[in-house]
Amino acid sequence: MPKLKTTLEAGRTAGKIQSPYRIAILDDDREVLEHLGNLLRLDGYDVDCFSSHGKFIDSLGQLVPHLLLLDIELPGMAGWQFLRMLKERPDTRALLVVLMSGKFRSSKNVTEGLKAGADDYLAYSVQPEFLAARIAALLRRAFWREGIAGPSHLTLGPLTIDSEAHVSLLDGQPLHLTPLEFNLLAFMVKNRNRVLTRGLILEKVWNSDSTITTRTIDKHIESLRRKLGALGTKIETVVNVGYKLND
Amino acid sequence: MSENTTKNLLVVDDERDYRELLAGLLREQGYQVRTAENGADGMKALAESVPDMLLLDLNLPDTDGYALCQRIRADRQFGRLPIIMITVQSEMQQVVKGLKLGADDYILKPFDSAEVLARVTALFRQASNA
Repeated sequence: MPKLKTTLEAGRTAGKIQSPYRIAILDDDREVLEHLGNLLRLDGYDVDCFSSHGKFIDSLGQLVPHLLLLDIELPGMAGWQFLRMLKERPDTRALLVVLMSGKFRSSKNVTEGLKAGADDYLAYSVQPEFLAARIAALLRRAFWREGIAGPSHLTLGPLTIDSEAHVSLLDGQPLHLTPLEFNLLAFMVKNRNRVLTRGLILEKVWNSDSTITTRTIDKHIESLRRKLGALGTKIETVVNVGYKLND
Repeated sequence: MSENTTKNLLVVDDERDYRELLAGLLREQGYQVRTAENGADGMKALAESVPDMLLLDLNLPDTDGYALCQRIRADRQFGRLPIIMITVQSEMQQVVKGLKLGADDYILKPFDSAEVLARVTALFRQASNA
């Protein structure tokens, strides 16, 4: 699975907290691209739109999205053949794929899609709220993090974290955290009063990304302390080991 | 087929016909299947041994299926358990609510056997990739 982007600032989209996930939409209908793109951006996702298979493939060299909405009837290459190709490529084998179709959604189509490696098959006529919920559920399962996808609401004094909606509030005011800071804070709140080694934090929050050094964790902790104000003093440094969040 | 024999599934549904149909279908594929007919028995079965996947009817006589779903997600022991909710075709709002509250996927009654099996397989694949 591709690693979560680290540079997205939370709260970039007006009224919504930025999601750490990037979604690609592959469709030749401009109106569909605009409509779905806007819908998903409102949910805080980073969205890239592509009108041909080739343009999407070209983009993979730079960034592999977390999920692809794929028009199965897109001209130029049989949709099924394209799906098979994605499932054979090492960089897209684990990419979540939701097939979108202008046709009626039948059990036969759904079954065929799932067997071919897609994660769902939906009709374009699907309710936007349903599409959003389905996408969120797929991302939650595929990028499961301990301490993030468990209980949806976590609290610690004046701090409230809703891991489902990816929202954090301090005294009722939105905290502007990067996605990694958010995951780090949620992990620490869930494991409050426990000493968390840098190794464990690396494994659970950074998903053991070997390119990350423990110094990176220290920097994120420093940033969290600053943003948390008085509550930040509750993050204790355990010398030569890691950190502990006291309640 | 042999790969499935190591996987345990729990089906919680109060409608006997659907419960037995689902259990039979999954057993035919080699899965180990336990069943429960209400929320209390379902929780008891979960506590006895954690299955690899839960198929949960949202409309149970004794328990709110959504609350059960949330309780499971909030529990350290089986918080990661893959959950497929079962609901009726006409109630898509229920599906949206269930997905938001922690279910991974859904099956609509009356269900298509091939689709049920494909969804179970797909969810096992997604859970193993996580």
